[in-house]
Formats: sequence, structure tokens, C-alpha cells
Amino acid sequence: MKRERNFSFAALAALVLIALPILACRQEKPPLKVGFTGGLTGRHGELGTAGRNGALLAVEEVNEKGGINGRRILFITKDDRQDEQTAVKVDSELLAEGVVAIIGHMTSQMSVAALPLLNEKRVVMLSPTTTTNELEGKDDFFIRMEPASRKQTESLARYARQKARLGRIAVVYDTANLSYTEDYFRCFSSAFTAAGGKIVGVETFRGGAGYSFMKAASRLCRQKPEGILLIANSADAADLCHQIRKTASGRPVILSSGWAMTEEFLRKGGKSVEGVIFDNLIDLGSHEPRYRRFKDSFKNRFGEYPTFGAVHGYEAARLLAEALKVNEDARHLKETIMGFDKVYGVFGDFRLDRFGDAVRDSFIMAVKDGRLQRVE
Amino acid sequence: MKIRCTLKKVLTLNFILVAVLPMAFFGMLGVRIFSGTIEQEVATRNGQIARALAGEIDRFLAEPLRILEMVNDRNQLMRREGNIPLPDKFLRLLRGRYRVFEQIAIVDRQGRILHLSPSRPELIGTDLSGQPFFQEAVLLGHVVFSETFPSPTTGLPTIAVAFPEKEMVAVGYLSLDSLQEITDKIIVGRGSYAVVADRRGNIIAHPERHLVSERVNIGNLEPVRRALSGEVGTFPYEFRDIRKLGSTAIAGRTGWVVMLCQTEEEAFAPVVKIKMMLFAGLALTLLLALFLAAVVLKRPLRSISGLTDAARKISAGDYRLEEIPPGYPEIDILAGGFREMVREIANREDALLRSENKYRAFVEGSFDGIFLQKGGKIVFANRRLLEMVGYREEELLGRETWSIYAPEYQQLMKERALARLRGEVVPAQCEVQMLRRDGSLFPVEISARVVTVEGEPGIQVWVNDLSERRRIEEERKTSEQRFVELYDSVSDFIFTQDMEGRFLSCNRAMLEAFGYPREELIGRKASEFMKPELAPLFETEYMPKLKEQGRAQGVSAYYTCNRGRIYLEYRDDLIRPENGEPFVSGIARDVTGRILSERALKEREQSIFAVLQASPNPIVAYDTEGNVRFMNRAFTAVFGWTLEELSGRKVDFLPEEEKEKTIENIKELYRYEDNRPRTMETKRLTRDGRILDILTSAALIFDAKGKPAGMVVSSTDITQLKKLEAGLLQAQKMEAVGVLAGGIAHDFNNLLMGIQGNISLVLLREGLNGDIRRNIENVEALVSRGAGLTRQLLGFARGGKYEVKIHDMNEIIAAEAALFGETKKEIVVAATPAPDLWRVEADRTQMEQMLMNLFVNAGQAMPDGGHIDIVAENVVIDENFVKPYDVKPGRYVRVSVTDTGAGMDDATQKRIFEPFFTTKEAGAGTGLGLASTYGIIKNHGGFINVYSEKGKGSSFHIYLPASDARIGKDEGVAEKFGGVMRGEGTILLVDDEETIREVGREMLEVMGYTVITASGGAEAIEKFAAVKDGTGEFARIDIVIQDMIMPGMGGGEVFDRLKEIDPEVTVLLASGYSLNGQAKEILARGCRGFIQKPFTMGELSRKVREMMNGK
Repeated sequence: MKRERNFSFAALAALVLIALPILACRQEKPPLKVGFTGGLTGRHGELGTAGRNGALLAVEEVNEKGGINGRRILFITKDDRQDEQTAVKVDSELLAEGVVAIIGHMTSQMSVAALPLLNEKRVVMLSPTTTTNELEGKDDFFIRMEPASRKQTESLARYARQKARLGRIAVVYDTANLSYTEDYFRCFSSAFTAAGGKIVGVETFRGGAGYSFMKAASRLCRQKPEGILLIANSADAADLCHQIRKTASGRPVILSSGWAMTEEFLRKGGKSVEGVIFDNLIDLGSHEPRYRRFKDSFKNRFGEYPTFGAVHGYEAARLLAEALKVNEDARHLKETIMGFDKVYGVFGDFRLDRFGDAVRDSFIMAVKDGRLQRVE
Repeated sequence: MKIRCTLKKVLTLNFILVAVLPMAFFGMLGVRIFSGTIEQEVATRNGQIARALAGEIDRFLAEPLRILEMVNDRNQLMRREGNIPLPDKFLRLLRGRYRVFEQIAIVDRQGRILHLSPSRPELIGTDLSGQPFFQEAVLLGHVVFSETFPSPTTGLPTIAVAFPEKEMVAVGYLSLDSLQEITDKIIVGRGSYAVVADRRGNIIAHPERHLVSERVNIGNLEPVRRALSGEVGTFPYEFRDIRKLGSTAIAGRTGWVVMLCQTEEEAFAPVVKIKMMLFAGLALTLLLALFLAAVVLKRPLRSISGLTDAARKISAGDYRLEEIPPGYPEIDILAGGFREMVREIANREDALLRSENKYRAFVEGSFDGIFLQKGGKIVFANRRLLEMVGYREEELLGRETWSIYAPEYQQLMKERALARLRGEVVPAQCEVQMLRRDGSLFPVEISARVVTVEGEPGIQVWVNDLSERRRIEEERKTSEQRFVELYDSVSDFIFTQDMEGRFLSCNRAMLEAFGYPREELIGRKASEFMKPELAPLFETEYMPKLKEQGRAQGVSAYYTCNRGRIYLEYRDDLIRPENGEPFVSGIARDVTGRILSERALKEREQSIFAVLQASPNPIVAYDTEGNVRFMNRAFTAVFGWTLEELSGRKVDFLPEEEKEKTIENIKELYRYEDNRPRTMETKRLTRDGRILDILTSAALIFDAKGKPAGMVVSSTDITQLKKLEAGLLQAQKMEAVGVLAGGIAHDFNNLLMGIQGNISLVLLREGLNGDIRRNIENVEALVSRGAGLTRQLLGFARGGKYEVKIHDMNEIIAAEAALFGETKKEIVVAATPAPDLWRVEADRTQMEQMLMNLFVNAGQAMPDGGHIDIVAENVVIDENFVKPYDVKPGRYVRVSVTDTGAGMDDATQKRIFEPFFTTKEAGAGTGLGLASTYGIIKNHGGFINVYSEKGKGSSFHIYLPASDARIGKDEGVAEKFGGVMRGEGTILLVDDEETIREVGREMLEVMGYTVITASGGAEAIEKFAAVKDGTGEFARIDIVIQDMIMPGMGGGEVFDRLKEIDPEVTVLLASGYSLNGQAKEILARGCRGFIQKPFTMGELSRKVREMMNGK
């Protein structure tokens, strides 16, 4: 008996001594997996990486504060290459990895392609920048940080007709993101013609390679438009502005969809983008304290200032984190999000309508002295 | 609790510490020094590689700079030689030879691209002035590398290099794909690789290519973060959950961070091996120390352990000692002394035990509890006392004596004990309450006396438990209480009275009903609670009867304490007990509710009777045979029969044609046997033989068992209502005919307009033959008659309107009566004006026409002469009266025109106001006179009715709504002028009918005006707008004459659109309709004038002149 006791004591002491380094390692809860999909490479890479960086900043902030109820967020990114098949493929991969939700896609075309899969799997897709009207008013698993483009488009058309007094407008748009661009074109065209204006020419293009913006600009300018509407990303829009300024005999007013509204557009466009008019939801020159905090954090983390893609990416990830804090169960994520009265926005709180579309007011902006400034 | 370690544990632990601690300390120290050295070595080696790599990158960028310098040199040379611009061929050759740049551009200092290779003409002139790298290069005058950006074509990281010279800037676009080749050369170990990040922290070279193309930012990794802020070195970091070491260096030209990464696992592999060896050595030493401790300490510890076990047994009373194992000599001596001590203790304990047993048997056997107290504390208690108070012996002994008494006795018992000890006389026995351990009390009788306890004075106390005795007493009390409760729980009243009627006792129900407390009720006579007038009967009748018969019962009313009345049904018995006085035993029940509901039922029956009698509708109730059981006064008033005449009999008031329907309805009522009333519209005869239209509502009457016992029928006389409905139907018919008539008149007027216009034009021609002129003038006269007819039609048509002013009907009646009297001498026309007659808002011409139509109609009914009386008066009419006419109730002026003519039968009266209805032979009348009168009055918001009997003349009653406004002054009658007024100006004539358009144009041109015509609204607006824009043929348009009814865009819309173009536009409306609602609306919106088709040339010329002047 005594021998047994001595042995137990000795064995226990030895075990403690040996196991001490192992026990010192803290046992962590498994992380919550969150997916991100967007066009991270190629021509549309700028919007995708901006959205990813915005979302990543929010995720890092959450993890720094201890995660979601003690669980770290594992942020998994995928590149949809702005290709519908790839978009569906990478979303399937993310679902197989067990993500609770997907932040993305960043363009309407990709969101439209991938959404049926997420609806089927009942997993929420939180898109930062999809604005196609095609997904408006649907009770599905799609939630977005920007409202459908209809209202903005109509507002821009109204401005063009009533304030800028434009009667004849030519339009050029990129077919690589058809869900957004064609939708935008139709909406604008219908609002503009209803207000008494006339669409005098339409040019489309897909991708930059081998496409001559100069020829497109000269074809449009032959119609003697009083204004030209660009529905393209920032790089292409800047190139188009260069060509329009060179080709047009007068100085037609250039209007642009919000897709192009980035620093890159201003840098690349230089003087040729002076006077370009946008209708947009956010003012990147704003001095709002909440935005300035975000802007400084973003600059500190990524070495550059945020674009609208980054802003909405951040908002989407933050909304997801807030919802997961309330209820970690991904099966109830949609209900949790739809139960929020308001959503944190970098430029002020906003709300979601009953279909998960953001309800936010837009305003007209124009490039003045190399900066974007609010017009009304 | 203080932890005390055993000797065995202390000694064993010391063995372990001595063996393990020095080894652990020095081992750890060694590992630390060793790992520091390894870390230093890794940092030095990896740092060198990173710096070498940074140098490589700088060298990689040197060649592009040299090429751009060549471009600039060539540029300057060409400029000096005057050969500007630089040939594109040179750039192409340069790019082809060195294959460094994707693109080379020569840009002027304003940022415009002048040359570009490969050639892309569309990009020539593109503005780069917005690019920060360009701005910086121009500003600072030296080479500037842009931030990295994805190539628009490849998506791979690219930079622009700007190399400025005096007038131009050479800009090269350099793909950084080649960087990958540089970093791929780095292989330090399996988990090592090199990464390059740009100034923002974005990866621009990495073994995993997708991280480059996805522009992943690693600026947050510790080594990169520090390097970007200028601090290079080797730092640990974590990437994708793997611990790594990163050694950084900065590429001098671009500020990019080069980081050599190695996993900690790989870098510190030797240290990990040393650590494993150390842990293994420690574990072995530990096991060795444990083994030695077990061997060395075994012998002494076993002896000490034996002594410890022996002491534990002695304290438990076991004096049998086992052999203690031999140890060292000191321990053996201690064990011998221990054994001696045990033997002595056992002997002494045995003697004491025998002495104690004798006394214990005596005390413990006592039936009473016994205890001893000394110094206020219990020092002994027998088993019986312990049972009583529920303490264990060890709990009770030593307790304060007083604590086992109930709190209220503790002080008393203390004082008595002290007094007893002082020798004072104190009762030897007393009853008190004692306190059990569980807090419950129990009664005891105690006896005490002073005794000596262990040499000191103490007190011995005997305790006798009285609980059982008390329990028996309690049970008896409870039984009595139950009986009282049963008595009080009975809801009926139970009482006893003495032979005088005084209450001796009563239960709670009776007290509650009377509201008195028991002491106030007991002793009082029952007659005191009765009505004063009944009280004597109690003494004189009730009590004697009870004494005589021994029993009384009945219902009687009593007053309660709050003067409420209750009715009691009672039964009293006289009781004669063998012992004692006789008394009355009674039971009573409160029957107030029953008595009162019987009364209420009677009152309700009387109320229903009154309601039935008060109803204005005849109500009759029948039994199942159809015999009358009841009828109200209204039945008698409407049908004539009284209840006395018909009670128990059938009413004979069913017309033959209604019998079948009525019987079927009654059968259905009985068939369904529900209480839903059924209504039926039918007819019934009155006692004097009149037939009334009746709406009946019948329902079954049920007896107490729910079986039908008859039915009740409520009837409403709707004879008058039926008449009103017929009137309303007639009014609607007239309305429809009116709309039709208006349409016909409009089209007819347009035709007449064409004829009239052409006639006017022909008559203007000079040299017209006299006969032809006469013939044409005849045609014009016929057109004028035609126009008169259409005016009558428009007067009838609802919607034909007028120029409204305030008028006194007295004045108009007097004037028209005088005029008619003059023309028909054989008829006496008498107008009776009313003093203070209310004014009416009316068109005077139409009022005159309306009166004249009535006079003419009366005149035609009296071909041989007669009387026409016209009476005007104020009337106020109510809703019922106006129902058939669709007008509002209120103040009206009534004008009655009565003749003594032939009169009309009913059929004629019904159709008298229809257009084209006439009783005269063909050609003698148009049939439009009374129709027009009807329309005029209707359009004035009034109504007309007629009363006539064949052979007795007719009376027409006209009701016009009275107005509060005063009579305004006439604005002056326009001067009549028959000729054509000429003028000049341009007129836009709009009409959809070509004939009218053409004749109108000709007429206006004859008057001297220039005419533009339009066949519809759209054309008119276009022509008008063209003139206003100055693009039209004419300089101005003075007046627009437009038709009101046109296909497509109507007159109203045309006017509004013209007004939009020119708010000052002058428009004259022309219409085949008269000035109706639509035309009036257009006038209200700013239209200047209206002319009724057909118009003559003169009328048109005056209207146009008037409008020209008014412009």
C-alpha cells in the first residue's frame, strides 16, 4: 500500500514536470471561417483588391479585440477572375471549406452568376459593390451595401437633363460586367429620354486589349453629343476621357457611373477628367470624423487611401461580424442581419430594406481642380 | 486551514529538489544561451542574403535608368540639331534591343505624351500630369519611381520610371515580373524563401505568384512594418498560423522591402533537439531521486508509522498493542515506554466503571426527567430528560440551564434557582414550558431542590412531561369548535327564540344577512325587524298560533341593518325539552331574489305592451290558427279595425292576388321555426276598401318549450314611398333623353352654321338679283327658325346653360303675363305677386321663355278663352318632398301657373315633358315647349310638377332655389347692330369640320382679316408655336377661334397648350352646344369669349371686333 502511494506521488510529479510545457499551450476555440470573393487580378483587380482590403481591415480589427465571442475569424480570399464559371467554382470551394458567409462578389455580373448556388445552400452573400437592378426586390440570401443603381442612375439622368440642360447624350459601356453596365445604361436611357433628352449614340467594349478607345471616342463625337456617359471601371474611364477630350470639337460634358470613382481615375485621367460628373453614395473627400478614422486606419494598414470598394468591403465585413456576435449560428445569419434596425456605415448609419438592399441617399459629385467635390 | 506536510513528503521532496533543480537550472541556462546564438546566426545569415537581394534589385533597376538616360541624351541631341520630334524608330530600336520596358514614352513637361513605343497613336497627347510620379519628377528634377500598379494588359505589378531632362521627361513602364526570377534564386532551406514588398507593403515578388497578382498586402507583418518605418533586422512573425523569422533589407532606389523568410521550426531545429534532450535528462533524474528516497527512508518511517497507529488505537479505547517494527535504537526505547503507559491507564478505568454503573441504573430508570445544575450549567441529565428535550448528552451537558426553558420562563427560573441557592423559600413545584432542541415547546411540571454536586451547592430538578394530558384537553376543545363552524357554515338561517319571540341564538348566515353583530341581534324580538304595521300581528297572531299548533311557516319581509328589505321563507318549531324552558327553533331562507324577479317579469310585460302600442307601424300577433291575439293602436289607425272587433278572429284584409304569396311566406316561416324575421312587400285592404302597399316583417312567437305559438307581424305603409320611386324613375328617363337631345342639337347647329355662313356670304355679293336675294333671305329665315328649334332643344338638354343673374320673379312674371295678355285677348291672365318674394339666380331670357311656353300651352288648352292664374310664393321644402327630383331640400320660390282648360289624363301627364311629345295634330306643335321648360328649370337646380284632371284644367308648379344674393345692376345691354363690322389682323381658325372651316375662313376674310386654318388641335398648336418661334409664315396671330368639340385633342386641352405657349393668347370658343359646363370651365381658365353656332356674319364680326378691342 505504502509502496503504491510513493509510486503514485513520484509518477504524478514526473508527469507534471514533463507535461508542463504542453499544458502551457492555451487551448483555442476553432476559428469562424469567412470567405471573400472578388476579381483580385486582371483589369478589374483594383475594385476586388480594394474590397478585400476593406473587409480584411474590419476582420483584423475584430480579431484584435478578441474575435467573435472568443473565436478568431479566419478570412479566406478567392479570385473570381471576373469570370462567371470561376465565380461559381470558387464559391463552391469556400462553401466546402465551411465558411459562414461570403463577402463579395464585387461586380454585378459575378454576383448574378454565383447567387443561385448560395441561395440553394442558404448561405448569405454580402456584396459590397453589386448594384444591378436585376437583384432588386428579391427575398433571397443576397444582402448588399449599396442600393440598386436605379435611383442613382435616374438622379444622374435628371441632373443631366434639368441642371446641366443636356439634350443629346452618347453612351459607352463595358460588356465585361454586363449585369451592371447594361442595366445602368437602360435605366439612364429611359429616365433621360422620359425627361425629353435623346440618346444619340451607344458604344460597347469588352476588355481593354485590342480595343481602341480613340476610335470609339471619335465615333461618339461624330454624333455631336452634348454629353457622354461612361459606364466603365476607373482605368478605362480615364482612358476614354483622354480620348474624348482629344477628339471632341467642343467640350462635351462627361458623366460617369460610380464604378469609376477612384483615386486611380483622377491620377490617370489628369486634366482630361476635370468636370466629370458622378452620382454617388459616398464622398471620399468628406471630413466626417467616422470616415477620417477609417481613412487613417486604412492608410496605416495598406499604405494608400481607401476607394469606395474598400469602404463598402469594410462595411460588409463589419456587418457580418456584428451579426455573428449576436448569433454565431450561420443558419440564422440572414434573419439576424435583417433584424438590425441600422447598419454601421463609414459615412453614417443606414438601414436595409426588407430584401436586404441598402437604403442610402446619393448625391451629385464632379471633378474640380483634380478632386471630387459635391455639386448638390 | 494550515497545511502541514508529513515528514515522509518533506524528505522525499528534498531528495527530488537536490537531484533535479541544479540540473534543470543549468540545462535551461544552456538552452537559452544556445538558442540566442542560433538566432543570432540565423539573423546574420538571412540578413546578409536579404541585403544581397536588395542590391540585386537595385542593379536590376540600373539598366532601365541607363536606357532612359540614353533616350534623354538622344532627345537633347536631336533638339540641338533641330530634328524634332525624335523619330519613333529610335524608341522602337531601343526597346527591341534591351527588352526591359513594356512601353517608353516621351512626355513634355505639361504631361502630354509626344512619343510612345510601341506605337499607339490614340495615346499620343494623353495627359500624365495627374500622375504623382510625373509631378514629382518635374518638380524635383530627378528620377522618380512610381508606386507599383497592376499592368492594364497583364495585371502584373508594374512601375513607371520618370527621368526628367530640361524640356522633356522620359517615362518607361517596367514590368516587375523579372523580380520573381531574382527572388526565386534564394533557397536557404526547405521552408525559406524571399519576398519583395513595395512601399505600401503590397507583395511584388513571392514564390506563390497569385499573392503577387492579387496584390496581397503584408505591411502589417512585424518585419515589414518595421522595415517600412526604417528599421531593418530579423524579427519573428506569424503568417497563416506559422511562426517565422523575417530578415529585412531595403532596396535603395525604390524603397521596396526585401524580406527573407524562414520558419522558426527550421531555423531553430538544433535548439529544439537540445531542449528535448534536456527534458529527457530531467525526467530520468527525477525517477532516480524518487527511487533513492524510497530506499533510504523506508526503515525509520515504518517505525514512526507503527507508533502513530498505536496512539490512534489507545485514544479510541483499544489497549491491545501490536508489535511495533524495530527501527533505529532511539525509536525502540520510545516504543517500550509507550507500552508501560498503556497498561496503567487500563487498570484505573476498570475500577471507575464498576462504581458508576450502580448509580446509573437508578437514575436512568426514572420515569421523570432528572438533571443536575451547577453554576447555572447542566452537569448531568438522565436518558428520559434527553428524550424530552431532544438533545444528545454531549450537546446538553455544559449548556446554560435556562436555555431548555421557554424564553418567557427563563428569567423566572433563573431567579428562583438563585433564590433557592441563597436559601430563600421558593415553591418546590411549578408548571412551565420547556424548549426542545428543534425549537418546539412542551408543558412540564418541575420539582427542584438544592443538592451538593461535586462538593459545591447545586440543584436537582425532576421534570414531569404534561404533553399527553394537554393533548386530551385540546381534542375536546376542537370538537366543540367544529360543531360551531358547521352551524355557521349553513347558508340558511338557523335560530332559536324564547316564547316572547326574542332571539336566543342564530348562525352567521343570519347575522350577515341582517348586518348586525351578534350581541345586537340576540335578545331582540323578531317583530322589531318587521314593517311597523305588521309588528303587532307578530304578537297577536303569529306567536299564539305557534304555541297552539307547535309549528308555523310562511314568507315574511324584514328590514336589515342598512334598511334594506329581505324576504324570508321560514319554518319555526316549538321545542319543549324535558329539562328547561320551551323555546322556538327556526330555519329560514332568503327568497328576496325570487320575489323581486317575479315582480320584474310583470313590469317587463307591461313595458313591451307599451312599446307595441307606441309603434307607428301596425303590429298584430296571431295564434297558430291565424286568429288575432293582439294588435296595437297603429293597426287600428292604418287599417281601421279595433282589437275588440277582431280578438280571436281572422282579419279579412288580404286581396285575392296576394293570398298565395302570403300563405307561402307564412308556411316558410313555420317550416324553418327559427327566430329570424322574414320581410315581404305586399298589398292589404283597409276596412274602408282602400288598397295599401305594405312592407311586412313577420317572426314566430315561441312558447316556453320552444314550440311555435303563433306569429307577430309588423307592417309599414309604403304606399307614399312607391309613388316617390315612380317619380324618380321618370326624372332619370328625362335626363337620358336630355343628353340625346343636346347631341342632336349640336350636330344640327353645325349644319346650320354651314348654311348660314354661305347665305351670309352670298347676300354680301353686289348685284344680286332681287328674286334670288328674296329666296335666299327666305332660306336665312328658315335657318333662323331651325336655330330657334335647336335652342329649344338645348334648353331641354341638361347641360345647356345661361347667363346667371339675380332676379325677382315677380317682375318677370308681371312682364310676361302682360305680354301674353296683350296677344290673347280672349284669355284673362292674372298674376299675383308675393310680397318679400325671395330672389332667384337665373337666366332672364330662359325664365321668360319658360313662362311663355307655359302660357302658350295653357292658351292652347283653352281655345275658347279662359283664365290663367300665376301665383308666386316662398316655400321651404323638406327631404321627403324633394326625393323624386334629385334636388336639395331648403328654400324655394314656387311659381304656379293654373289654367281652366281641358286638363289631361294620367297617361298624358306622365309624358308631358318628353321632347316631341304633343297631343296636337301634326304640324300644330313642335312638342318642345314643355320639354324645354322642364330642361330650363332642371338646369337652374329646380323642379316642376303638374296636377291636372281631365276637364278641370291644369296646374304647373315650378320650384326655383332661392338665393341670398341681392339684385345686381344690369351691366348694360349691348348695343344691337345688324351690319358686318370689318377689321384687320390675323386669325387662327380651328375646326374639325371642313365646311365650317372653309365658310368661316371666307367670312373672316370678307371682314378683312387674314385667316390661318387648322383641322385639329395638334395642327393648331404647331402653327401657333411656329408663329411664336418666328419660324412660321406669319408674324403674329391676334385671335384664335376654336371649336370646342373635336376628335383627338379637345377644345380644353388645345386652349391649355396655347396658353402654355403664350399666356396672353386671345381665344374665342365656338360651339354647337350652348354655353355649358365644359365651355364655362374653359372661360374660367382665361378664355376671352364664346359664340354659339350657327352665327351670322354680323354676329361673328361683332364678337371678333369686341375681342380685338379688348386685347
